[in-house]
Amino acid sequence: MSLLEVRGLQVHFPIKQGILLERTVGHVRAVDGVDLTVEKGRTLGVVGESGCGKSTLGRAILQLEPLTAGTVVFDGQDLSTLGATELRQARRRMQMVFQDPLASLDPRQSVASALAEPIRTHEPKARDTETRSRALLDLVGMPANAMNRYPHEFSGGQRQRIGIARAIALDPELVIADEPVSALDVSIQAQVLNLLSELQERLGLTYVVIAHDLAVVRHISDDVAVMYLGAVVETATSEQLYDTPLHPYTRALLSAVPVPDPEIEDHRERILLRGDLPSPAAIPPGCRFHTRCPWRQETRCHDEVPALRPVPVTIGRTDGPTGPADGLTSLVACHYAEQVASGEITPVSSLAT
Amino acid sequence: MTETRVSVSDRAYDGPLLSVRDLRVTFSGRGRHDVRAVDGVDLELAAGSTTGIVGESGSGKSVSSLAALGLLKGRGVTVEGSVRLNGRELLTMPDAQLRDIRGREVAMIFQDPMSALNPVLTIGRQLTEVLTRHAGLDKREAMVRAGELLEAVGISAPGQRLKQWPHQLSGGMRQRVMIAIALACSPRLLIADEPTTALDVTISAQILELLRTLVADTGTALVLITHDLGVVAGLCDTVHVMYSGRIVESTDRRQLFAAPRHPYTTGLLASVPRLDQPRGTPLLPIPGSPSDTRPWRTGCAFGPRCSRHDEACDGGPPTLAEHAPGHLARCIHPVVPAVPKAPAGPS
Repeated sequence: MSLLEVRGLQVHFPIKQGILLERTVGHVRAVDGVDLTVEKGRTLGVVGESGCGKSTLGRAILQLEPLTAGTVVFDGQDLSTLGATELRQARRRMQMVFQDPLASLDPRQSVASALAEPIRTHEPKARDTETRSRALLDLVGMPANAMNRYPHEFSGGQRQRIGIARAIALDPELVIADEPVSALDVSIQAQVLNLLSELQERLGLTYVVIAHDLAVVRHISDDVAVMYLGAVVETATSEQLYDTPLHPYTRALLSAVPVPDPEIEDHRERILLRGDLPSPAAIPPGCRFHTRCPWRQETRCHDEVPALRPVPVTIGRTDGPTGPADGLTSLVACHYAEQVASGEITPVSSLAT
Repeated sequence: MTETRVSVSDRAYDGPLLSVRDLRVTFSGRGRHDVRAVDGVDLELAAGSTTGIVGESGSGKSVSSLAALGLLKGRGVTVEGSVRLNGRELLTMPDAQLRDIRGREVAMIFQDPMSALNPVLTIGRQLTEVLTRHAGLDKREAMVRAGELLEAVGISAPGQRLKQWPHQLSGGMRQRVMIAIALACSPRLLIADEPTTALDVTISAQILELLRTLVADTGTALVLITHDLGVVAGLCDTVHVMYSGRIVESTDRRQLFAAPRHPYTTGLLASVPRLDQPRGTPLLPIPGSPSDTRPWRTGCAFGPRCSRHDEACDGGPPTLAEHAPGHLARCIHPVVPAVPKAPAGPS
């Protein structure tokens, strides 16, 4: 059985207007119907641009945001049915790593105290807090003399290590990492990414990694979900998604990432999306991507919501139906995924170059 | 006043557009030790060329450009060396004259367009300010020109946008406005400091494409300051890699990515996950952090993090030496490039 199952998850935030009598004039549909499954020991990468709802999704999974609809089932337990005490119990098993460790660590709390806090909270009778804290520091590659120091004394990479140590202090099964490396310097990112992989192997952790950097997500994830305006538009194994992107948005995203190789850069096909992300308070009807989609068609796209459905990857591949991709499918929310992949529909040149 | 201005910039001059010599920037530590943010940078830029300056936070890449344009004056900062634009020295130039040059001959765009734009002035007001101040247009002419500029940077309904305030625009749109302001007086040189770092992937691709075409169409020279090697690879003729206040490697982009010589450059390239490499390629991080540095005069500043470091590296500052034609690296144990791949044939 999968460790985490998210079904029909919605998080809507009301937009209030008026001073005395606050009226709700609309909703920001931050997460608007997401289904996800994460198997034990695997890493799911959630990728998308700012405002796509990926962070809200992470927080909603941990019940840090009230759900508007849908269920989050963790290890067979529906989290929304749990009472406050039971939820606290369950939270030990699900932890979070935040983007900016300087903001998420208390500046006046020493490392020793920061690491002891989760242990004391959940195991008030524990007597080995200090030994466990030292072991945690060692696990994340920090020297033992870090114990009595404060967050500002460390570099960004070291602070993130402390943040990770804190997250794994209670031996959780699921760790949700929200942009774990985007605040770090380029040369440091690899250290933290490698640490996350190492810990996963040693502790058998299951990860949900939320990030906007497509290369980072590909590197660390087994499976990837691409989000656009609150919904998943494509999900597949990392290998498959990056080799054969099927949703127009995934294709555009991947083509927009510059790679450090001038030969490739000079000859790359770029799919430039026109305009900006629409506001999640006014999600376009029909396919939510249709306003920016270079492959948009006259019918269906603007008035029929596409379901996330299996699409065979062989369509987008040159190795044909007998190749190694035979039988594999990705889940894609596009009416015309097959035609886009086969080249039957071509992008509108005014929208793409 | 207008006449004197013209005579200076129109004087025949055929040297490099920008020439920076031994630029040093020191932040006063107010009693504690001073910080040398830029430690002897030499740069030369031909008219119409594109140059990338790559480095991490604290490498001095942004400070160099701010200092060169006289934007750090009188804030406990000492700027030494020489910065010549079209042959005229900028560092000793009086402020009034410098203000004529900034905006008219050199323009700059920054990472965060929200803090670079004035939040209480309309887009139109901010755009026309440059035009009336530097191009000598009257208000009505300036408004018309401002609309054209917005159109040139790909903003739809420019007439309406001109009446809006920065907060009403999206991040990508604001950066387009910044570019429009920067290009308003057709400067000879545009300095872009992390122009896409604050933007989303798809928006960042739009802005880079815009810069690429504008630079090609207008013949403006571009200095692109970034931490992202990918951005440089597609946009810049020449690339300089900075570490701890000095340039550690300089060459043209093909050479840099095909055969990097400095261990810091190779380290950077091996530490980022790349979409053009097979999934599962291990990441080889650079140990330590950019703060694990030391003053250049005592030895190579990258030494403490370098895998090729030995006693010889501690003997004093390494020089920026030519290791291949047009390929400079500041290292006494440079990386030897792998034998170029043989043309693909039957194996």
